[in-house]
Amino acid sequence: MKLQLWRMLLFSTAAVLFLTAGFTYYDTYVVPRCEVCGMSTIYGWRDVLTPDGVHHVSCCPLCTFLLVHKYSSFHVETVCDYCGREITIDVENGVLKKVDPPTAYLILAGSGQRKQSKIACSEECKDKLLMEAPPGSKPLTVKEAFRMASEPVRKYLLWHPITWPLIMELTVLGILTLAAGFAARKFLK
Amino acid sequence: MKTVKPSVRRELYKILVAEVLVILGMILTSTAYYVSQVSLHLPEAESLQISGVKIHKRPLVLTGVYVANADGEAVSLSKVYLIKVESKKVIFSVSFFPYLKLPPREIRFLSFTCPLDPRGADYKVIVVTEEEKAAKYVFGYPPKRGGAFGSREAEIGYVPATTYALFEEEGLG
Ligand SMILES: [Zn+2]
Ligand SMILES: [Zn+2]
Repeated sequence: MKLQLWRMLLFSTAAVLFLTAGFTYYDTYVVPRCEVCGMSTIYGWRDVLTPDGVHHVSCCPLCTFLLVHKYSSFHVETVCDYCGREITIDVENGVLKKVDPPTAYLILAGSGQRKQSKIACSEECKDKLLMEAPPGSKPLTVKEAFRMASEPVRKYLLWHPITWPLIMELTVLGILTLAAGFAARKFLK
Repeated sequence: MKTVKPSVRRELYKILVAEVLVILGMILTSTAYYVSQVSLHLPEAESLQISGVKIHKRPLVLTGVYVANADGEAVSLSKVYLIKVESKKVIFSVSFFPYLKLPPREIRFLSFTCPLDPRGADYKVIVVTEEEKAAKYVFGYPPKRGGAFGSREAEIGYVPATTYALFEEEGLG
């Protein structure tokens, strides 16, 4: 009977390990997450293209600029959060090179919540977005916002996703536990 | 299991009860989910129109909808639902709080992210106002070798940001 209990224990441990590995994989690599803060991108998709041709994603305009701590050059494609007009931003070697349209503004949410940070294409859209922004929100030109985001101290805001090797380790551990469950009879002798 | 001790049997019984509870919980959540699906038959918001959707191709995600308020009064937008037409299931919803204001004769972009089926599908977008009225829009794309869009971008409801310009031409912008 002791054998049955051991088996049950080992099998359920293996199940927990597999579930943890699976969930971690899903949560880190399947759910689209902001590369900078790790938040889900449900409230906005800001596409970032690095020179190596890889697409990255961030959840808000501020996170987009924080990417400068990870990649020195990138091209951002996003839209005005009021009217949907396309806004592109180019950063080269850590320097803001081009903003189109040049009248773009970033609105830093007074609440401090990323999802409430917005980008506007023009003075007009900025004013309209400010009207519904939480109290304490302030508009910054893209230049100011970029300078603020690229301050060296802000690189500590970067999120570190759970790495693939760690997920693999969990899986291997699960397989070993499962094998131990099957071989439990031998151990007990 | 012929010589099971009573204490072990009790343990097994506990595990069985736990499992029954888990299954019950699953049944309850799925019922709640189906009930929430039914409550989407909302009256139409006359002046509100979804003028297009924005799709990002790699990875394939819906990144927002363009909503136009043709005339009349200002509208407050509270929620967006995305329904997969084939299965009639709500696959995504997002709430806006505070509500997003849309003055008359203006277009707004509602930004959100929802992954789409790369095998080709039809979707219905529903934008809900504060008064529980709705604007609806259907878009889709066929399954296609070489990616979801292939060369048929223009016919399949992929609406780039040029919608903005289109609406300006029509005098709505
Ligand atoms: Zn972020
Ligand atoms: Zn705008």
